[in-house]
Amino acid sequence: MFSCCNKSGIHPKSNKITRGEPIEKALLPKLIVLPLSQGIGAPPTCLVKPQDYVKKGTLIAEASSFVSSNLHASTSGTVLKIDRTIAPNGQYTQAIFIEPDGLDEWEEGKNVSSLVSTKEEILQRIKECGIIGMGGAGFPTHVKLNVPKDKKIQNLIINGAECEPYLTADHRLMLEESSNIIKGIELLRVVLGKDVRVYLAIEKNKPDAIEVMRRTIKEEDASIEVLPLETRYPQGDERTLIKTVTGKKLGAGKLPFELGCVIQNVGTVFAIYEACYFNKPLIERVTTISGPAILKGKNKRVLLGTQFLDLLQECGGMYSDVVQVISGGPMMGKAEYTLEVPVIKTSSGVLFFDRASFQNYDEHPCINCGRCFEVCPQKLPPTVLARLSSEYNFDQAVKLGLKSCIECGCCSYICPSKRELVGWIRFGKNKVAKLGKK
Amino acid sequence: MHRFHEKKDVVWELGTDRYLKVSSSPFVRSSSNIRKIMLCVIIALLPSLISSCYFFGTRALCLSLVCVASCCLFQFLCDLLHKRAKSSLGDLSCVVTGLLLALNVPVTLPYWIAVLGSGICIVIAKEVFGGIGYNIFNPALVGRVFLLICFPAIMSNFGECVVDGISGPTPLTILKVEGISALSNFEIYKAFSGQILGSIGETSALAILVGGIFLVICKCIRLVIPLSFILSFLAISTLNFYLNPTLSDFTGFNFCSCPLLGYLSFHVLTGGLLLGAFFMATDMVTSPVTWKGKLLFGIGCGVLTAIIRLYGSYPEGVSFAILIMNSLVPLIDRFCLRKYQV
Repeated sequence: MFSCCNKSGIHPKSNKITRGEPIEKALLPKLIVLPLSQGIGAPPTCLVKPQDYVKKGTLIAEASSFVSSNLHASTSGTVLKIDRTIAPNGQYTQAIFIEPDGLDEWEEGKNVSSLVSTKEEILQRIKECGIIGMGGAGFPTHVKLNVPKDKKIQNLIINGAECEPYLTADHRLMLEESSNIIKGIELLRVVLGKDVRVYLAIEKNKPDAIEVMRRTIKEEDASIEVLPLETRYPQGDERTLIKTVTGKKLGAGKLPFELGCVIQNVGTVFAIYEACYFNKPLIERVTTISGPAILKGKNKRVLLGTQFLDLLQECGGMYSDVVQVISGGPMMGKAEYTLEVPVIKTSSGVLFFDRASFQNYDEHPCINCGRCFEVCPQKLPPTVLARLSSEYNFDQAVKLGLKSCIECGCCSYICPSKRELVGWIRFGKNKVAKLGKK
Repeated sequence: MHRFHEKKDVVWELGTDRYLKVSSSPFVRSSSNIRKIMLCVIIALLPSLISSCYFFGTRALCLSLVCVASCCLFQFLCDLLHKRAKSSLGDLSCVVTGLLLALNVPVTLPYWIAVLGSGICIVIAKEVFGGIGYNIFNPALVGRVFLLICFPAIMSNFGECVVDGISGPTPLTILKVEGISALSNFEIYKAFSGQILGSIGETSALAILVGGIFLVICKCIRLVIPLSFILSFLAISTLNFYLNPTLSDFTGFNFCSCPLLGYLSFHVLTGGLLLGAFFMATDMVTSPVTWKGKLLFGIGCGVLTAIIRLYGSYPEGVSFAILIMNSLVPLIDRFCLRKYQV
């Protein structure tokens, strides 16, 4: 009745067309493009030069500072050039171009059974293997796990919510690699301390995943609590997840460890398992290739650096005219203007939209309906923030919580006037960040 | 937009315009739009329209059609003047304005005055401020108050109820002019069903409540404004009831053998209170956006209505109260947008 009741978030059509598609290995592409910067942090320093021969898993760029991560060649071949490419975020970035030789030969000592078990070894291995958060933000995992000494971590939350429409990569991973994910979780438990409580958060629209994980946990006799979450976007957001699990609200600019929480994506946990058991660097990831414009959506294990062009062909080409290509989910992803964009460590999905599903919305004036206020998971006034940002009144916008926006897009989704609310808020946030640096 | 990068070894053809569209996320949107909201309001007003036809005859329907048609015409002309690329007729807001204006005027209103009122609604109250979303005052109420002030005699000739043939002033006018003793034969249930005089849409409380509940179910309005409006009005009326001995001694309204309850239900069911609370005060553009603001707004409307009705010289105060509160909406919104606590 009153809009003050705690019911934020939205229920977009889930469109998980690929939920029944088993994870397949993608074909070796003709060209691998590895942007140096794959997530948050300083870009690593390039270690190779053109004409160098690299093997699968060879370290080609080394972390340049603490918040930075290693980068490995995802297949064997010759380095063509080090040039700029267009990253999934639409900006030019330096990248290493590799021409695969088709042998797909592993570097010595990589991808062989070599288990590490102590805390220091695990952290070192995670750092060496260049693992970053694979849910979207791409924060280096070794930094996330390096909790300050005075902070005690009580909760480890494994994020398998996957609340974005279309995406099924984490869902399939949980179904097919359940015992390995649990092995990964146990490694994290070693790092964070034995008494940490582990929650595995899965949205209720994946009952099969909940069941499989529960069964596997029982078989492995692990003390992990599977937490079925109400299906509601943005349930898988870090802050929303902390609120759901602990009931506490994480303030703007604060990191989860300040509330005693560490959150890891299911995909990251699987990567940690592979790194610690087989010394396998992060060179491939499970990506959902889906959307109304392609013939057959698939969940693919894709080598990093594969261009979207190759992915499209692998799924049988187009069903109809592609007018929009999205890297990531449809709520928080980025629209690409070219298909020569590589898959990076954070690419959870690649979506192809056709003319019928892409609607060119006309913006209407705000009619003050207040729906964006109601759906905002951060309890912000989105239409006011968007207006203030568009007027360059950033001081006032910051006072009203501009920096707390998580850019989930609920406000733009629900807006009956189809206003670009989150677009303007994102603009304001970027401006404020730039002004703050000066 | 950037030129699509072509590759020679690519066998597939791109879309007809050979561009990829870039836009800001999210790339999926809900199906809600302004037209749907306005359509909900129109559906919610249908019970009132039907009941007005039943109680006042087909002229009520004709009057509504005239108001809607002239509002649409004025909207069309304004779109031409504004040189809008896309006509704003499609969002149906002018239909809602026309309907609301029609439901707020007496059945005897000459058609040319109805057209004039519609012109005031659309041109002065809405388009001069910039069209939908930018108007400060509820357009239909501006039109109504304009007519009320310019044509007081015509606007208080409520014609005849075709069902039981009653005519004359509204119950609230009787209360204001002749005092409460003149209402000793008044039956509350008639006010509930609509067998009283008044503007064509305000007489049947039942029809308004049906429409109001529909709006709440459709999530087009929140109950907070109507409830706070009516409850604060009732609070002032109760105070008035106990402070005024002639009211306390009056037994004509014995509803459930309680004079207070009778008095309160008389005030709620007669006049434009329900119509105003459910359809006018809840207009999204001219009401606050936060729920606290809505609460303040509703309370303000209720208190002002009670003061004008009980102590002012007009028998009715809903329109004035809502318009006054409309002017305070930006202030209320500013007040209710607290600093975000980190």
